Amino acid sequence: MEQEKRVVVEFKDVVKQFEDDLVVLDHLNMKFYDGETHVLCGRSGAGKSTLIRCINYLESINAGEILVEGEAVTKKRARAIRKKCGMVFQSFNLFPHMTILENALLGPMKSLNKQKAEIIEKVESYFHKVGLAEKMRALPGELSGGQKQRAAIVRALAMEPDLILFDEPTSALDPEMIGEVLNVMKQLSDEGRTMLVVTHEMGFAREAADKISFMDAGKIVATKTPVDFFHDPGHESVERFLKQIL
Amino acid sequence: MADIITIVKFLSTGVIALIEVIPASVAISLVLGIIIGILGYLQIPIIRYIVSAYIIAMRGLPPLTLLLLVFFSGSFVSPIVTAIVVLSVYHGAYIAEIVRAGISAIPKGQHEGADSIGLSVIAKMVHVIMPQVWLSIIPSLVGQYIILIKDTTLISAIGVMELLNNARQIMQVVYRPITVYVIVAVFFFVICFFLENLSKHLERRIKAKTIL
Amino acid sequence: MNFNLYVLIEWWPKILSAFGTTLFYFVVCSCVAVLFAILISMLLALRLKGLTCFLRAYIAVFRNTPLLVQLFLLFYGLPFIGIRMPAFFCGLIGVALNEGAFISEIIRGYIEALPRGDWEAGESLGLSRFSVIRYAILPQALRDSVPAVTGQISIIIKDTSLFSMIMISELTRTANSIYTRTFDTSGFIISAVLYLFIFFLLTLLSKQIERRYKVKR
Repeated sequence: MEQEKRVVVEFKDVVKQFEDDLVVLDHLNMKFYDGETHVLCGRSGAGKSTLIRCINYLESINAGEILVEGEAVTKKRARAIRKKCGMVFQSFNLFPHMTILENALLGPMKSLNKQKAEIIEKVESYFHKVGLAEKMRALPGELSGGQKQRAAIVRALAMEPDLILFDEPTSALDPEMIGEVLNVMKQLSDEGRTMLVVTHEMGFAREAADKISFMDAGKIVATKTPVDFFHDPGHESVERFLKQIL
Repeated sequence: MADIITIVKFLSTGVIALIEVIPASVAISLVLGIIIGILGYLQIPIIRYIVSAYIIAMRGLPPLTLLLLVFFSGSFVSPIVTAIVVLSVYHGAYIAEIVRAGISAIPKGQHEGADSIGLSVIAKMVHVIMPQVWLSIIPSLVGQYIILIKDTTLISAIGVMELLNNARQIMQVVYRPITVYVIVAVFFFVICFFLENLSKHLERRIKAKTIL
Repeated sequence: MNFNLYVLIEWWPKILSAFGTTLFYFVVCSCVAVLFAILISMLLALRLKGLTCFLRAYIAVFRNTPLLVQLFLLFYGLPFIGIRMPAFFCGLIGVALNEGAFISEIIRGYIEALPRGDWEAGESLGLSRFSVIRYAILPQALRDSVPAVTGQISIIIKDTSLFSMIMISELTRTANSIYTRTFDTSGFIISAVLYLFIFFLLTLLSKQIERRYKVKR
């Protein structure tokens, strides 16, 4: 039975244009649902990263509206919305002068104004979950790429976000470390977390995604379940893309 | 030789004035420079123009002229206080530029990482950005303070009894200008040369730390 | 602090002459300092043991001692051993030696930043080390160093104010003498405006020079 799922993020006729007249998001409409793992794929420059960066106001839009849990994303509400969205970056962006434990505690303590005693147990359990329990007091500079990204995921989880945005989380990793990060992401997906993932890892998409969207030139060309996406996408550009990468 | 020792002894009373002036100027200019540097980086409307005007003024005006102007304008204030105030305000502008450049050098990703966990601008600056800035600007700061130390010779013009004025006094008794001024030069050389090498050493250690 | 227009009206000839003096010293000292610095950096690049040692010592001494002390040594010290130079030469030589040391360090930095290949290409053509420096290395390093060197030149404007302490009637000394005669600090205010004017001219000129000599790699 199809349950009416809650809409977590909604794009309404969104236009984003860079200064040199490059239209990166072209009248984009989309709904992302609660509890779903939604993968965004497409060629470089199609607008995937920009799309998710607009959700937590790391980029601003020129026209249209983005609603996060019914609330419009504006400069004023940016901080409040960011507290609800966790983000994992391609280049990790961990703070090099703090241990990864301190990295994870910073958000809840200084942004959500929680006491360390309140949250320390939960945060440490997250480090356990991603397999970094012994490395909690290490500095980012002492860790491998895969470990850094897993630490970055904990930093996002520590905020207890309603949704997690992943911006090509494995693109900067050496091949042998991609698996450990994707495994953590699969775990989170199985727990029913709402995740928006921009990635080229189609294996992950096939196994963990509830929906896959293909983007081309600022538009979402197709949104299908993994089964449909890989067997019968129904769009020429998607078929060409799949041929290239599979 | 005995002469030289007497001269050195007499000159060292001038060092007392420097001990009063230099640490105070360093401290005040540092605080001033950090505040103005952060303000300059944040580019707050209206304030940014005041900050720019201040920095341009200090870059274009000679410190000696400033010292004389301020001293003669407020002749009720003691020379040492004037010296501290003027040196602090003058070098504060240069420190502000060093701080601002240091903040600008922090990669954009650090700002985005901090933004993504919902930190306010102040919290971001305090916990994420500035801790990374301190380390990177130390060599430039030391360089600037070497200049400040050399600039203390200018405060002789407003009557502070530091080395040059003491030198003038000795020479009324024993006129040996070359010996006396060379001793003063050696004094500054030892301090500045030491600081210069300290800065180079620190720079090397900072570079090594970041490569890790 | 007050500003009274009457000061400007009454003292304008002296102020104008002082402005001219400051401007003159600034331009002449800058040219001499830069040429001197180029010479030093070329000599350093030759890597002759004894010469390098001597030059490095000279640079260390003149960078780490105050300009005012250097000027006093030239103006008060030298006459003591019989060398009496007019104030003009004391100022000129003082700044040339002092700023020359700073500017030569700037140029040296840019010379060392050039790739080894430039040296090797020149040497493989059979050129003497001096010719490699003169034709291949120095032109590039000089072009790269233009922004930093013009920054250092803006400091020379301030160095000219120290000439007031060795009896040269430039802006600061004139403002000072206006004060001692009238107890009016307006002379300093006028000097400040004129110093900033020179600074603005220099900034504009620097931008022009930077644009013309920007290196495209």
